[in-house]
Amino acid sequence: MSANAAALTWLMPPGESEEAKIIAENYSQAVESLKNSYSYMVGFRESFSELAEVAEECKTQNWDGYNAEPINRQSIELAHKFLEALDLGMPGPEIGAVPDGCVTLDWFSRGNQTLSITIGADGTLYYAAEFGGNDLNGTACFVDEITPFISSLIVQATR
Amino acid sequence: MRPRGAVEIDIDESFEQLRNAPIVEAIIEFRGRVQIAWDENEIKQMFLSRLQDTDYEYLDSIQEVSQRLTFTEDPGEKIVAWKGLRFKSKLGPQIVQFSRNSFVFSWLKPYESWEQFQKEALELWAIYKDVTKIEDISRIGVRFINLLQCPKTAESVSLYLKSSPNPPNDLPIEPEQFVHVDTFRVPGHDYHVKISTTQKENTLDADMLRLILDVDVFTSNVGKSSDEVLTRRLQEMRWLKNKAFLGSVTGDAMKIMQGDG
Repeated sequence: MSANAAALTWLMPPGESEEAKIIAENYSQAVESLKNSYSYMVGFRESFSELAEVAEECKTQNWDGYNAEPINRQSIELAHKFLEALDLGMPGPEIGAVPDGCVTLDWFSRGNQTLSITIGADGTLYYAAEFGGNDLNGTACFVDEITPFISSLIVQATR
Repeated sequence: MRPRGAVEIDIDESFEQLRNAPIVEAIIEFRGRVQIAWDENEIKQMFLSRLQDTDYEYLDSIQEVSQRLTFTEDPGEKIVAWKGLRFKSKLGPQIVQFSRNSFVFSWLKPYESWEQFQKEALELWAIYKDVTKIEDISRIGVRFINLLQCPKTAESVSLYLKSSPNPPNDLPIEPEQFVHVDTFRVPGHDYHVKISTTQKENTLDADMLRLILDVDVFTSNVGKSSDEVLTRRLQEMRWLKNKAFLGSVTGDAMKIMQGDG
C-alpha cells in the first residue's frame, strides 16, 4: 500500500455504490494492519494511558485545589476520538486538563515549537501554537477527522 | 496572480465523452456544523415537507453506532445515535444524505452529465442549508468512483493503471490483492486530490479484471461562501478530477473506454 499522512486521516465522503464499500473496506483493513504494529502505535499508547489517568484524577470538583470543574465527559470522548484520528506514526501528545473541565493536548519539539489544543465539549478545538517566536491561535471544528490545517500544525510542532 | 509552479485550472476545457464511461458513482459533499437542534422527528418532518413536491422520497434513517468510553475492563455500553436521513429519487439513480455534519449527494450509474449532476446537488444543498441554517462549510468534496472492466493479460493491472502493484526485483511472486491511496497537494490552490485504486473480485468471468479507480478532490478552506463561489469551486474540482482520472489510466484502458478496445 502506498499512502501519505493526509490520506490516512482525511475521510472520503461516504458512497452508496458497492465499489465505494469495497474501497472503504480494503482501506480500513490496510490501516488496521498498520495499527497492529508497535512502531506505529508506540506514541499513541502513552497518550491513551495519560487520557485515562486524567479522566480519573480530574473527575471531581476542585481537582486542582482552585475550584476546577470536573473533567467533561464529552471532552474526554472527543479527545479519545481525536487520538484515534491522528496520523499513524505521529508522536502522541501529552494530555492534561484545564479548570473549565476540558482536555488539553500538547506537543513540543526540541526547538521552540509548541502546540496546545483544548478540546471543547461541543467539538470546538482551541489551538495555540508558538513556532520560532511566532504565535498562532484560533479555533477549528472537530467532528470525525482532523483537518489538513490542524495536521500541519502538529507536524510543525513536532519537527 | 498565481505563484510560479501553480497548476493552471481551465474550467472551460472540454473532455472527450467516453462511449464506455466507467463511472459507477459521482458524489458531491459539503461538511459543516448545523446550527439547529438535531431532533429526529423534527428534522424528518422538515425535510419531508420541503421535498414533498420534488421527485425525492424518504428512504431510511442513518444510525451511528459507537461504544461508551471506559478505561476499565468493562467494555462499555453500545450507543446507537440517530445521525440523519436518506432520500432517493423516484426517477433516477440519485440518493441524498442529510446528516448532522454533512450533506452528501450521490448519482449512481448511469451517470448522465456534470451539468445535471451539479445542478441537482446544488438544488438539494439549498434545501439542506435552509433547514439546518448551516453557515460555515468545513469541507467540500467531489468524488468520482470508476470501475474499469478489462481483459486479463500477463501484465494485468499495470496494462491499465499507472499505479499498480509491482513485485520486488528478482522475486517472481504474483500480486493477489492491493489497495493504493495517494494524496496530492495542488500547487497554487487549496485543493487536494486523493487517488485510490483497488481490485474488485470477479466471480462471474475469470478472464476479466475489475479495477476500481476512485478520485476524490477536496478542500477544507471554505468557510462562508456564496453560491457563485461554490459553483466555481465545484467546476475547478471537476477539472482536477478529470485530469487526475485521465492521468491515472493507460492508453490501453482509454481504448476500452472509448469503445475501441
